[in-house]
Amino acid sequence: MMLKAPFRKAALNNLFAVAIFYSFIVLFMIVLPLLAKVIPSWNIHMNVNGGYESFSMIFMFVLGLTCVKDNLKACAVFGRSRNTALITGIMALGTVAAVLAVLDSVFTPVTSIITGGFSSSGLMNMIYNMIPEKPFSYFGTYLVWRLCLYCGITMLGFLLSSINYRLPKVWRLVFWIGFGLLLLVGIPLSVDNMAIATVLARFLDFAIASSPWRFDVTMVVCSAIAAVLAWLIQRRAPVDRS
Amino acid sequence: MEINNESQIPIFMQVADALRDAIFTGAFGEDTQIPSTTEISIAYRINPATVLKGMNLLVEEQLIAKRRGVGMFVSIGARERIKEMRYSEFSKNYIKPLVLEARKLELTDEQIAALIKKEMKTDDTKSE
Amino acid sequence: MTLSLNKITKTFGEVKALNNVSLEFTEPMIYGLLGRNGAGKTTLLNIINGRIFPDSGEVLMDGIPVADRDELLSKMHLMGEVNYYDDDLKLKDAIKTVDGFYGEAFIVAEAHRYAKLFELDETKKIGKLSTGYKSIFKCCIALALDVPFVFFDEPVLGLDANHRDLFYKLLIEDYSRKPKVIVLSTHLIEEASPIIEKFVIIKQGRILLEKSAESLAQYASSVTGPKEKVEQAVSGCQILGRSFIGALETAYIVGKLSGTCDGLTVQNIDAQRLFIELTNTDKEASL
Repeated sequence: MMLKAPFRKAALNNLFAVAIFYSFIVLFMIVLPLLAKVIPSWNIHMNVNGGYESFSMIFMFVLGLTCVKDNLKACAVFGRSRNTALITGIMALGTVAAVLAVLDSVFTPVTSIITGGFSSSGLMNMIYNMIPEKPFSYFGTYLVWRLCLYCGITMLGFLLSSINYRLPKVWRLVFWIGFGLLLLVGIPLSVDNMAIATVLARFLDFAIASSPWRFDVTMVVCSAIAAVLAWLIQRRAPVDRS
Repeated sequence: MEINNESQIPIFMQVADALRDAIFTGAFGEDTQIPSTTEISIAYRINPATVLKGMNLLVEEQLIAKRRGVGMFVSIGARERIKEMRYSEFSKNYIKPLVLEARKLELTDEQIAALIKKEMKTDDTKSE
Repeated sequence: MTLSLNKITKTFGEVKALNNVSLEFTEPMIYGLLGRNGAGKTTLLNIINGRIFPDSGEVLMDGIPVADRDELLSKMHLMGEVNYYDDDLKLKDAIKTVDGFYGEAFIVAEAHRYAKLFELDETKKIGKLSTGYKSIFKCCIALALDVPFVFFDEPVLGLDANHRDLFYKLLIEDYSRKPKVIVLSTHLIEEASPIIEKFVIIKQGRILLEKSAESLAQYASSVTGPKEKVEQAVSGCQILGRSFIGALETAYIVGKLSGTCDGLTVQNIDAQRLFIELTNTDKEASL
């Protein structure tokens, strides 16, 4: 396998997006609260908690969506197999997930120190009720947790995009509407249904909410499943004409 | 020289003809190197294999010869030999068709001779 | 190195684009892949290069299946109709990308040289190029690649006469310096045929004819003369087509006329005429 070139291309593309995204987010998360402090008439109360993560999650999902087509095309055209395309695509996403996990793990506490809003902090602290005593408490655990979270999310995007890639145009629309309905209607409905809700709640309790480490394992397993499914989908995918 | 794709004459023969012509007119002097297969094929946008085939005809006729590691050279006496070849084919290539056409037009021998003489005269005045 | 297609079949919905096609590219040579629109040329080239996959059959390089093998896939390149570069990529960056993928097999200096010869502005973005210049850029990349198998799918589509001429010139130059298998798929048979050494004619998903330029020139001939005389002379021959001007008939036959041909004009027919006669539909032939 000749992974270097496609990996380099995909990773550089993604990291470029990260740079733009992150500079914007940092501006938003640090400069605005500071300005708000200086200009009291703004009267804005910024809550930093979980801020970086929610943005990063959305970013990783979108990146997973956009990564498939370009990489597959480049590989097919410049003498690489579909397997190589898949592996390098996932490697590049993993790299970005790691970069974002590190950045978020550093910037969340830094931001709370700078803006003076240090109270509880991020998602993980809230879900598992792990109250940090100092800004950098649970640094390692949180870093791994974020990495796994981002991997899981980005692989979901990657899988959805792979399915989208192979669907005929009309079916794409059906697929995305269906996916939207599942999120907006299906989940609330199933929560109303006691039986389903119980099962769902039990599963979530066990796999996600019980401990950060179990969450990590769940995310890794989900990512692996998504990767295998994406491989099955992409293995014999034709290159788009457009 | 122009290569004519639509001609009835195969391209490699056209290449050979063009080379012979170049030697005969002195464009490629005796004992000098002629352009390589690549140069010729690039110049006329034709396949190198076709050019090589045309060149090989000239090699067989001993008009050109390969010098190891250098290239193809025009043989000494090539020009004279081409002249002989053309001379021996002159009748077949030019006189015979002329006679055939003249017969179809029912021209008399005298008329043919007169026409040839007239053409020679105009050519002479032109070249003066 | 040998690249062989082994019983390739491919259908798109109801349409059989390729029907049990077997073909071999062996010696370094310039091949001409000819076929009408929809005959299956692009499908064939796309399958060879792993852009799409056949329903059955396989592509082999020296006997080893090419699919899923980077080291074999990277030994070929297809300059195709599809736009595969990001539109917002500058030409010089696209050249860098190709360099990354093909490494030593891509001669960067050559790519720049070709771009300059075609007067491409490398600081321009690919999306800003006209269709013709997009083709030209893809040709520049393919010409600068020193891989054993290079395929051109309609390389001169949308190019003006000067650029076409330059392309053929550079192609021969490149081929003479580094002999390789070059496959040229084109509709411009007349201007491409002098550089083609072997013709492959494809019709309705099947290989119709596979002949060297030399034997193709001998393959068929035309017989012209008064209708009755022509018909008499060509009876018993395999007739590819006929055309009439009043009572004057031209018949295109396979091979040469065996009997006498007094009062008839017998001529060789060129690749383009042969192609037309071989691939005409009945409707077209009756006009």
